Amino acid sequence: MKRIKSGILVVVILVTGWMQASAQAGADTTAPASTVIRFACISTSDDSIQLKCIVSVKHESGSTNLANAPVTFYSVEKDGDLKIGTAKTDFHGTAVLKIPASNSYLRNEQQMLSLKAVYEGNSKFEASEGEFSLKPAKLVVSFYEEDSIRYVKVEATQLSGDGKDSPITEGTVFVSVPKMFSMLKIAEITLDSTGTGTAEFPNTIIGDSLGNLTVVASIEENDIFGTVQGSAANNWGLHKYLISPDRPTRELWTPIAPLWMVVTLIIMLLGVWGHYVYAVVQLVMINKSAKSPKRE
Amino acid sequence: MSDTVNSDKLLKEFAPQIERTGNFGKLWIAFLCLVICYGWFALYWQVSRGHIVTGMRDNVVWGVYIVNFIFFMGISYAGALISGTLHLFHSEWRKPIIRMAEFITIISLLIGPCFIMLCVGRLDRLPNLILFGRIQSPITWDVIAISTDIIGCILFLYLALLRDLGKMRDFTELKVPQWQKKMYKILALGYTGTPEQQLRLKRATDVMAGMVIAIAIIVYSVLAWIFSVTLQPGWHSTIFGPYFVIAAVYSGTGVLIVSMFVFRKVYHLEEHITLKHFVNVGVIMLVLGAFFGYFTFSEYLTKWYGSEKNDEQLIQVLLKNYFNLFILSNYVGVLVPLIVVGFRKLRTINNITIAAVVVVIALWINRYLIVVPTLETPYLPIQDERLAWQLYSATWVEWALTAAGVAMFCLLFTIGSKLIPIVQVSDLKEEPEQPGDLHLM
Repeated sequence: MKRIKSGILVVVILVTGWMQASAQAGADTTAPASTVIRFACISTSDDSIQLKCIVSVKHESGSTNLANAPVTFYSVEKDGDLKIGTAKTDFHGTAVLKIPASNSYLRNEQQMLSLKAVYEGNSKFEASEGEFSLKPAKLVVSFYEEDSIRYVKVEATQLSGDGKDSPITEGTVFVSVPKMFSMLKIAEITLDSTGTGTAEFPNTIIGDSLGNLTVVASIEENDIFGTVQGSAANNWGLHKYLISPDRPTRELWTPIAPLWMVVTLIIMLLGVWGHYVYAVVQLVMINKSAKSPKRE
Repeated sequence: MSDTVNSDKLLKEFAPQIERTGNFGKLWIAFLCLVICYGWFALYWQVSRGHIVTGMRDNVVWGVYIVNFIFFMGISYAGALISGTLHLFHSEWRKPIIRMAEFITIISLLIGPCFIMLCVGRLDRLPNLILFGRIQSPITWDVIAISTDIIGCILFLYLALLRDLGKMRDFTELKVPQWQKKMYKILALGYTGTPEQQLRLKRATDVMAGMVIAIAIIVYSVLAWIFSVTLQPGWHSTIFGPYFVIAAVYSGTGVLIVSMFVFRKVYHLEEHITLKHFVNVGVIMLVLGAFFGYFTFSEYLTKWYGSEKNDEQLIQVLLKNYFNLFILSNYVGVLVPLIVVGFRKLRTINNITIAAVVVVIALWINRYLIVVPTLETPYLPIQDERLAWQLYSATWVEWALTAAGVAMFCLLFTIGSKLIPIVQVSDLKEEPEQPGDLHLM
């Protein structure tokens, strides 16, 4: 009877183990995860176009950016896609490739380029792709001063493939200054018929220790031009001092400690070390009394 | 005269321990040296290859080293508090155990700060702490506090040893090398127990006993503030100072009981260290255990009830990823000593020692749970999602250096007991009574 019971137990254990192993094996052969590509192009002031895409993996609780994924960029042409180049995504899942603004890739009647980003996928992740069309453009930022008032001027130009560049006659350009965590918007300029616009430059922007500032003008996510950016530097910012040299303060983050802290520390250290000195003096006196038998 | 006879009798009893080291003792010392050598190898490995050989990464920047630092500093303060308090209250029963408490204080004070050095990536920049230290920095507070504490505790131990050093200098039957005799002579400072010397020694010892208690509280609070002044979930707490102090004394009491048990067995001190001593120190442990339980409950209750997002996340991590350790640290570590010492029938030397071992382990885990899970659940989302960067797991290098620290503690304790009797040999009656003296029998 005992043998039968032991046999049943062994069978149960083996069957359970086999079922678990099968379940584990099943888990190992799960379907590849689906991926998404977010593709955008940015025309920059150095006459180039930045092809930028973010590859992410979708899962139940949201999505995670995929690192080290090879992304191939193509120009969509009549005879099929023409490969431009390949870039791998970084730890943020972003792959970037730069091409010159004046290039020979096929344009449509509106002089727009049609571009494509493709992630081929592998056994773990599905393939995905994204498309983007844009007409290359350029923003030039300059500064001038008139009657002691400072101005920022932007000139927006659309670049046609045939060399006939023309101004962008309508649209809004945002002017901003890069700060530590985000872009600080300082002006919003509406372009006129000549593709230019101006705005007064504020005199309250903090620059570096020499007042240097980088000013960025941008047309954001336009249907025709995509994102267009241009930048220039000036020294119109307020000089940044970590600590005002003429007004030393006692805040926690300054080199001089708060007064209450200094006073507390001195009181505590004097109190403690005073007692130490007292104890050492007593030891010295004990030693002294041992050396002078007359006193005993 | 009778005091001298009594001291001589005790010295005669303890002389063999100082004069000779048996085969077991030699084997024990060799084993400890081996573990320490392993630690040195791990240190070489870490210094030559960098901190990448540890489990510490950009996210969890503190690990087992800082846990050991807090643990050793904690037991040192416990030794100071226990020996200082028992001295101030003139507790007669303290005599056989007070030397152990003093040894625990000094030895752990020497080992604890070594662990903080192991956390430092650029040891060559260590002098900058002194050269460019800012008073506003809690690290500077810690440097000042620990160095002040080390000097104060060494002074207190020396004062407590002076009478015994005098006795050992004058005890002609002691067969020790010449250098050791010379050492006793120099360190005894010519103390012969004249009324003037007795009075001066008592005054100095009383002052230092009070000081070591105060400094112990301040220093361990400073250590707690290093955590609580930051805005990390689980650390930013107003009760962290007293919580750390109570936890420190609690763990130190456990180490003291374990030391009492070991030395009682090894040096056959059954006549001197009796059940009464275990029960008395056990009762101190019980009271501290109750306080520790109260502080722990208060700490987690307010966080849980407040339901602040990051606190809630941290509690989730503690109860999910660290469930067993959490229970062992905060329930078993509190309830076992309460039950063992609380019930008269369970109060045996073995039971109290087992409870003390549980306390020591539980309190080490408690420090681990304070440091690591908090760093694993930071406020800011981290930029790299790799699990190895998010989670902490100690490597062999960290465990080897931890073992070496424990071995060094045991080795110094062993060497100390070979130079000075582990039980105070001079009679407590040599301390002249002063008006206002407190007594705790």
